[in-house]
Amino acid sequence: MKPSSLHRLTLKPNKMGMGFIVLVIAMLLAAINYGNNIIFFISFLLISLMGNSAWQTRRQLKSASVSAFAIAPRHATEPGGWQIQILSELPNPAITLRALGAEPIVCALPAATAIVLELPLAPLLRGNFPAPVILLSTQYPIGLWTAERALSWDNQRQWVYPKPQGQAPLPQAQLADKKSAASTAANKGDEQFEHLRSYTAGDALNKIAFKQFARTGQLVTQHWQSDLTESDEIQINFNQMPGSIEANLSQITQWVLQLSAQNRAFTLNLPGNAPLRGHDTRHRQQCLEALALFLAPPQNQGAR
Amino acid sequence: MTPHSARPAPHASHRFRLDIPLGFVIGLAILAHLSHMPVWAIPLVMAGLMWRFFHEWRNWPRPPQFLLISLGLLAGLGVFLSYHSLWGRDAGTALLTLAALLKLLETRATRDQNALLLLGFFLITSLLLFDQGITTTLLALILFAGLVTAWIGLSNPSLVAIKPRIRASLGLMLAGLPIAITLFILFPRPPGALWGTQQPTTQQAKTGLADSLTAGAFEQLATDDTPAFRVSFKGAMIPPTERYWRVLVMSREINGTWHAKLPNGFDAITPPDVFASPDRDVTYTITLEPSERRFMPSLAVPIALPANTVLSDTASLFSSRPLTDRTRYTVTSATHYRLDPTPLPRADRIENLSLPDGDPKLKALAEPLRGLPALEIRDRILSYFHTEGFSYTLRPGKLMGENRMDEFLFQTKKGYCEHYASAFTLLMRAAGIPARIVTGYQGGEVIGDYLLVRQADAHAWSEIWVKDKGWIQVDPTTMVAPERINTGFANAARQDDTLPVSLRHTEGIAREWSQLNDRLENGWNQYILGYSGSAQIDFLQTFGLKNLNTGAQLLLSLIATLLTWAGVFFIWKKISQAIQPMPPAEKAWQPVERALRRLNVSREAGETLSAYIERAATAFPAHRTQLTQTQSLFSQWFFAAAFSKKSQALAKLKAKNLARQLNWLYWRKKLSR
Repeated sequence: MKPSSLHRLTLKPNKMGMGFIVLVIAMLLAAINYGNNIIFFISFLLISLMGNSAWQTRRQLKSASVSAFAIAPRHATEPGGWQIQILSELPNPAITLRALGAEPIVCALPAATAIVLELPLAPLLRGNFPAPVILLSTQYPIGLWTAERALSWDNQRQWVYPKPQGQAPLPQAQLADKKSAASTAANKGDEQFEHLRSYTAGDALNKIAFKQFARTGQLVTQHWQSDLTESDEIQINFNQMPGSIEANLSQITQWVLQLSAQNRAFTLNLPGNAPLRGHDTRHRQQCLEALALFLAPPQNQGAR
Repeated sequence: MTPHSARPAPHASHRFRLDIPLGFVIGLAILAHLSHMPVWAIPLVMAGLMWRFFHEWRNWPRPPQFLLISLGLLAGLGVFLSYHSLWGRDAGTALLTLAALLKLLETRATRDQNALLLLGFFLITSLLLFDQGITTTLLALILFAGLVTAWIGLSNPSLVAIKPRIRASLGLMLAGLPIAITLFILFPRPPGALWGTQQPTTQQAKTGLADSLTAGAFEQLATDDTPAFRVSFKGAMIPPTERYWRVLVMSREINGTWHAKLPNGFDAITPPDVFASPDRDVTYTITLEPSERRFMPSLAVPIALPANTVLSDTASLFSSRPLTDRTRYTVTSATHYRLDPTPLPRADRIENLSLPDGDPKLKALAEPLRGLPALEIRDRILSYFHTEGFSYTLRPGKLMGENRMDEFLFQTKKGYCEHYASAFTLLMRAAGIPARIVTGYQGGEVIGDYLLVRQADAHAWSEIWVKDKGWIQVDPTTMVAPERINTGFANAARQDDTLPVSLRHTEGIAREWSQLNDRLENGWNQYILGYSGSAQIDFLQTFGLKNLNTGAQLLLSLIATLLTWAGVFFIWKKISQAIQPMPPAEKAWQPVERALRRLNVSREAGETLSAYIERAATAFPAHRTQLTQTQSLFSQWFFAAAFSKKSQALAKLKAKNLARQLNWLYWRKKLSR
């Protein structure tokens, strides 16, 4: 994805540049005082170096173009990474990239070769945020000038899920408890076959659809409706949890990750949200997004 | 695609290492100053440089802070004791060099390196205060390029490799050259010094003519092939026999030593009476090497003087201040003249007739000539030198004792120009004719369109006063060594191997090389070092720019610099596009993608060429055919194993046309907006 807007390229003299202006003035004074033409020439060479490095620095930055991949979601207070691709027409031995608020990285770019690199992102509290502005800067070649350009990404957002934390045991869902005996004894023929999905580690052997395997060579498992609704479903109810909001969200996040790693189905009930029921990665993502936005300050909940 | 290895911003956690080019260049710059450092500082400098070297190489510990501080204080004291000052060129440079040395020893962080870099530029500048010759300038420029190489590393810490740094620094310097030259030509040169400049110390002063003359005084000068001055003539060059460069006139003889009377600020100068024949004058420009003196060589007799000079009562030219810098001046001299033809004032007459107490034989030799016409006396004495077996040699042996001139005239009969001039002058005086000695230079080597006069060309001759004719020049040396005057070779008398090549009267490659060197040096002096305020005004006048004041000139140089700057930018862009290291297909394709990028259709991460061009074609339907055709050609070029030369040419042409059209589109859009 390319940036939604390229801000003006700014070119500013560095602190070092000030030192060199003083140096040039001192050299010119010496040249005038001693009537020394070679010192004149050396000072003029220094002046021309300053002038030329201005456009060279600017040109170095101008020749670089950046496009970005989607930002991988991360958890609150964890630093993140953002894969971006940078292409420079000119070789640039030292270009600095920085997502606003995070550590900069310096990289060397060969000419006309796209390079993908991971930009560090600053840790944030949970929520859905606009993608950070990327500052692209260079002071190559002589560090008298810094050329800088900000790239904003209005069409990109970053998800920050609550931090997974807490040791509370998984809620043993009441509804599941009541039905567990019946469900295990139930005849599979009574149930509605729901779908096939690709095999993941931990799936019971008797669920594997060997017919499919024989036909396509792919391992898939069969799932019935009862798997979701009755047999081993866990209910997570925010309202039944004792702690503070953030502690509860952290605990729930921990459970969500745990459950989806085990590929178990569960239902998440957050006040004000429709119950989220499911077991797959999409379900996991929905849950985590809901948790990220739950009672979050408005500035952390971008328009979805 | 896997993430490219990106380097995190550098941390200063590991042991600091001095940037190699920086250390190397600063070390060299300090060493370049060694020749004009006080003697005690030399071991200090060497020890300091060695210490830093071993610190980097063998992990020696850095010198402790207290040692550096006390060394700094001692060095300051030492400089003050050596120069009796901490200010001025010599003391200031010594301090600067020692400060750079201590900073080099103390450097332990990136910030220190920046200070070292600035000190390096000051070291280069101060090096040029001592000498501005071609060699020193080249050295300064090489050190400058080295500092820029170091500078690139300091400002881009991730750039460690030295080769790309050298390439970048040479590129920067090359691109800077046109601008520096433009500024050099046009930037106004304010006249005069802003603060008192220190005179060169005696050890650097060139030896040259002295204001007194003893027998044997020229012995040293005669083997000194350093230039004294160079002359270029407006019009034809004068023949060798007329090349008598007058410097000092000496009338007083005390104990075998002749003394010149120098004009000073206290005595009023009575200018000589000069009657010059019209149309018989010569105008020439002399570039005089620096000395501590105020003498300015000229042909007799100057009639149009340069500014800030006086003509003494003996018709020698003097500057109003010591000529410690290379000086250029233009003089017009009369070649046919009468100097003081009116009767001599009594005091002058007595002074120019006085004889030493001794030398009875000399007096006896001249006695019979008394009463004869002055010119006849002159001829008789000259023919005496010619016929009595006198010879011309640089090492006549020392004349001892009371009656040195008698010894020369009647025993040794060997002498150099000063012996003949002395003896002739005294003989004339003894015969009753006022006479005096003139010292200066005679001859010079013709190199191209100018004349090089060396210290070895120093010469002494005589002047006699003749009623109604005034002072007449007589050179007794012509009688014993006519080739000395006719060829202009000061050492016509000797052809030995101890002389420097440039002084030998031989042809050959070595001689031509020495001439070429001098031409180079002369050009350098004239056009680079001598490009002062007045030369600049002359130069600008050839372009019709007359009567510019400083402000206008400053403006002119600013405008010209900006134009040059834009030109350099343009050319740089063209060249760097041409030499970009890219496969030919990429190179031919680049302009299309660049043009599309300007039109806000840039290729996204991972997008295929055809998808990208499809997007572009949707955005610019008018160019769809062109876009897709070019794309299919390039897709083949990029990915097909074989793509014929002919198809390559076609693809190149298509890409070029497409890029041109897209650029047109961009400008049309931009202008209509």
